[in-house]
Amino acid sequence: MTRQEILQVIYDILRDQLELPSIQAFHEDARLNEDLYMDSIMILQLILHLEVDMGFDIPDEMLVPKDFRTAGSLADFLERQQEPAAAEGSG
Amino acid sequence: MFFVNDQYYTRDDLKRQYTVFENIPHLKDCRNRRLAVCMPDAFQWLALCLFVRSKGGSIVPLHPSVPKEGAIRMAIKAGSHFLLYENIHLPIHLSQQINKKEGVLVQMSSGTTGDPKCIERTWESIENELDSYVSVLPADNQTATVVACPTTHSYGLICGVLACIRRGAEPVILTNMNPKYVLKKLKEHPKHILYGAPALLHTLTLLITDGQRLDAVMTSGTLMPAGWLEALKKVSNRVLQQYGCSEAGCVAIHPDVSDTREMGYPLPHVKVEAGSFQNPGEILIHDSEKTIYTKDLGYLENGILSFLARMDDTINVAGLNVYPQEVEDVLQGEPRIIEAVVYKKVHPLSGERVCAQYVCSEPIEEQELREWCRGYLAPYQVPMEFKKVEEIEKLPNGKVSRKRLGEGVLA
Repeated sequence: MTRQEILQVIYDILRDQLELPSIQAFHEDARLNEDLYMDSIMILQLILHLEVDMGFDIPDEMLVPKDFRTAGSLADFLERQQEPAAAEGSG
Repeated sequence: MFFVNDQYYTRDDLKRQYTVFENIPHLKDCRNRRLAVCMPDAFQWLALCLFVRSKGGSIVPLHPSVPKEGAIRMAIKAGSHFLLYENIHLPIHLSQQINKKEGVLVQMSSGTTGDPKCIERTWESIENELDSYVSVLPADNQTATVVACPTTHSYGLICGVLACIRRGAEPVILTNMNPKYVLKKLKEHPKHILYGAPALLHTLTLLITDGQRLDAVMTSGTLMPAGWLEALKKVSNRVLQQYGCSEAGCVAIHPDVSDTREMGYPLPHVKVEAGSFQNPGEILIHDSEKTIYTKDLGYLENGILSFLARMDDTINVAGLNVYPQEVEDVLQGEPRIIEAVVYKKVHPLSGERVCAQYVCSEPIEEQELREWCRGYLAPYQVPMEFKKVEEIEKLPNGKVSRKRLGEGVLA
């Protein structure tokens, strides 16, 4: 999945699954907490949809808050997560 | 001694931290002083809490996500002499006034009916609670407490961390709320009792794919929907529930929940009064000093305390009581409904009426919803007004205020 597609997936989850009222503020640099008003429970739900519905594999490591700061940083993080799988696929 | 995420702290680490505190004048002399603490580092926060307790000082825990201005406001409200915000070396001085009582833990109650209240509890009363709590909790000193909830709140601090230390086991405090990380940590401590809020427990339930089993799981704070409990029980060896309030701490534990409303057996250090199954009443807690009126409606049967609703939330439809949770459980059983909340509105002519707001995955005809409810509920329990919303409004603490939703008059 390209970075652009990942951003679209995040947008779709926030709009359709979480029905985020602040969705019109969504853009790459929107901060999940300060700009989109997402609390810890919503982040939990977002992770859940990424995992269960979209098949992303969130690692079982500590999440670095920096990765979940903006929509763009989250997309970067998810892009990195799929790298090993992509390498495997091309090999 | 205890873990914070992957970091293990020994008793010596704690002693060293105490030595650091002893060399900071405003901490050394904290007896009869009230300290508000807002600290991102969980070890430093807990060490400070234990230190101030041992000195007979008072502490006001503030959740690490509170911004500075908010922390100052809350610290002043709680009568704090100074605030430690993210740094133990730079106290923010707030007051010189002498408070009536020190040697207390100060907590902000959830304040569902308005501004949060400050509740003071002496360290002795917390000791009594701990003795009583540990005596009935079915966990030995080989069982780690995994605290996946804030340690600035009494559930995580007293029942999670302090009770675990009291029974001679080592708490595992998780500040990283990645649900996969929580599952990994539970695997590392196979004999555990997990403390979490229903939303986290539900997420964990859905993420378990490899047959992992949770050992013991404690839930508290808000009633878990019946379907969530059922799913959680399938992946856990045992699900426990506890009930309490900021004034008294934990007052009842259920060692093995099968009905979400059953809060369990009252702890030995309190006497709990409530109505009967036929005639539910306000839950009253008598401890050695006082009686607490909880404004919660419940009953005692066969020694088990059951919680029905916040008293303000119970809907009186022409003399018949409707408990919002019961109706919400039915609504949430409809496959397209993601979340539902039931509350009352007062009609000037016909009294109180049941109303519902819901969030759904795809559109539902109101008629279909009514039919669905009629399949499970008495006619007077079926909501008169259904309102589809994008999101159910929550208070800053994440709880729903049924009172707030019901403000306004039924059209």
